[in-house]
Amino acid sequence: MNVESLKDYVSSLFNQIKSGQIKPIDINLIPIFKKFQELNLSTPEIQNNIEYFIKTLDTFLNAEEIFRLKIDQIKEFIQKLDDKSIIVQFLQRFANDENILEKLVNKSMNIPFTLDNITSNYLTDSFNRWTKPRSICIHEEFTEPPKTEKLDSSNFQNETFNFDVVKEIEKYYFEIKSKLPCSLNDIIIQHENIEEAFMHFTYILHLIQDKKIKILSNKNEIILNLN
Amino acid sequence: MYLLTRESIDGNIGATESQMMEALGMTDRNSSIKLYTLLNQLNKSLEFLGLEIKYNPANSYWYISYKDKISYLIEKSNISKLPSHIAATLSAILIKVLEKGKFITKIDILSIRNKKDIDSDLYFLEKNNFIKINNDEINLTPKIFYYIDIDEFISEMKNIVKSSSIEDSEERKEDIKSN
Repeated sequence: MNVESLKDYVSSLFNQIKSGQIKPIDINLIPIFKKFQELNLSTPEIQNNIEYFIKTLDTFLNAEEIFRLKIDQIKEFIQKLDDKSIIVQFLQRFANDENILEKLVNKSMNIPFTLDNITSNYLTDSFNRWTKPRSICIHEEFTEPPKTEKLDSSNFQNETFNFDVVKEIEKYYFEIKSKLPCSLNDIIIQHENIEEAFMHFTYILHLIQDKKIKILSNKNEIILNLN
Repeated sequence: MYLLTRESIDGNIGATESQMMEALGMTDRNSSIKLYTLLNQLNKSLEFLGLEIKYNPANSYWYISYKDKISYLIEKSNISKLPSHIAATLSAILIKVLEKGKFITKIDILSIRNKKDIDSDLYFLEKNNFIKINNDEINLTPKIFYYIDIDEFISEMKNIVKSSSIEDSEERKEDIKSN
């Protein structure tokens, strides 16, 4: 492989892109890179053609950002061919200086990021765990029933109660009276309308407060308060 | 991410485009464009972690590397540093390869390294898959391009040559003045 044949290869590639026969992104750059590697770098021909190769590669830069990176790597490699004079100067001055040689390598050290100990299953599980929507409700289970204090019924104030509501409660009391004793669910759950169910539940609380009915907590039953 | 962070037994880190496309089940005509788009997105996500996707032109593998600032911090902690004599030998190999453009020999390295015996250094480098020794020929492996940023290596070399030339010219000026 000589410079002329490589130049022909690159220019034919360039013409194909220009005519729209191929897209820059479809070009396999590895053969080009390998061809550059095969060149005899000591020939002055390369120095004369470096600019041409860089300009041609610039025309490929109409693709994605990562593709640009791929081309940059090859451009960098070509530009390195131009740095021979630096190498000669360096060798003349610092060839035997161990400190400088060491500094050169350790300063240009790169560390690839590897995750060899993590399996694909673990990564997939982690991904699924992170991307799965989770409920933010916290469910707390009591090991013991929570302790409640006895309410002092005198604290409840009926004064502000609307008279109509009292009438409604009274009406409700007569409605359920015949069903008692029964569980709270038997009275409440039969309502399809949730608002009505809540309303009747509050009526029951008022009836308990008024000591017309009471709840047997051990049986979970509502009974008439005969006391 | 899984493919880009694997190191195979032969020392290759990451994955080639075809390996990634096969793993992702990309078979249509536009698969390479889709792959580049995915790599772009991943690269942007990794930026926050101080990582970036890189391409090794020596073996056409894509891999993940620490970004400059992070690797500087790691370097400071001495994790990545090679022992000085091995680093100096590796440096000599790289310079000679850049100079000759092809394989080099032990004599080439000894012309730079002021040391009688470099066999143990070469053994270490070969064992770590940085170089390949075939009879008298010493070749670089693709693995070295993961660990050494050749561009940085050359620019550092330029800096050293530049700063020494400035020092030389200043010394000369002082000599002229004193004379």
